[in-house]
Amino acid sequence: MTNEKLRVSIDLLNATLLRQENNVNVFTPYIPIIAVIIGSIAAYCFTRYHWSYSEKKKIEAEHLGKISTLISDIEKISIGYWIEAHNKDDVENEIYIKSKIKLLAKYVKNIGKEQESKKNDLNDFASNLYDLVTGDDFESHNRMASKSKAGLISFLCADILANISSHK
Amino acid sequence: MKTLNIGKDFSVDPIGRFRSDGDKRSGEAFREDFLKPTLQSLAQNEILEIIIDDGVESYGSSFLSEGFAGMVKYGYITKEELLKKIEIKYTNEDFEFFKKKILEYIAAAKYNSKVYVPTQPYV
Repeated sequence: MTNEKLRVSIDLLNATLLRQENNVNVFTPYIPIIAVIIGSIAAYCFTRYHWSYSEKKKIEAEHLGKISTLISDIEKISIGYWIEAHNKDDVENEIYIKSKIKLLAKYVKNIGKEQESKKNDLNDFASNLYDLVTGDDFESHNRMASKSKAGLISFLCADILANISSHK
Repeated sequence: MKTLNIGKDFSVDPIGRFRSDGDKRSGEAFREDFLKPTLQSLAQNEILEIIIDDGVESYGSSFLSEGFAGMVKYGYITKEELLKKIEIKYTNEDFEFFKKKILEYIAAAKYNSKVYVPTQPYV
């Protein structure tokens, strides 16, 4: 009985091995090589995508950094302008203010679509800042100092700068 | 179509709100001496093309709001008519910002909400 069972097991093993042998084709030796190549391509694609994503994020962060620096500049000049009444430095400061706000609008326009929410916030900020800083008696010989305006400028700028740095 | 080139016809350095602010390059001067007479000379359905970037570096809000929105504020023209009659033009894309502000100031102006009192040039 035991011999019979053993014989059946051996026959089964033989049959299985024969089936395996019959399934071998011309590609079978290359399957491990092909698997390695596909794995390498997948790893390369992932690395490439990750590098591209990181580069894009780096460029976005640098662009926001430029905008932050420019906003700080505008804030400093504008507050200095409005805490004093009309004086001999006005002509120079008015040129700085107008050109830097124009540049700010340009930088904000160049923010990509992926950051639409931030772009909208900065667009609103640039528009409000422009009205606040260059409205009223801007460029007037009769201009009086306005500490309340200077305070508002500071508040607006601090708010948007905090907003930008939280998104970075 | 008529054309008003701010840089060539008015000034490359528009400055301030009123004549009394110190300069003949003010928004008041632009409106009273250039924009208003030119609009009044238009034929029916004729459009006034206003070039904003030829030689001009930038504008302050005080100039733009007094120069353009002042037309509505002092009752010379309604905002709807004014917006139909003018086309703001530029080639430098940086001036898109100023075009938007001009249109915003006109749209926000209240028709005939103020009596115009001419100011005297600053001496």
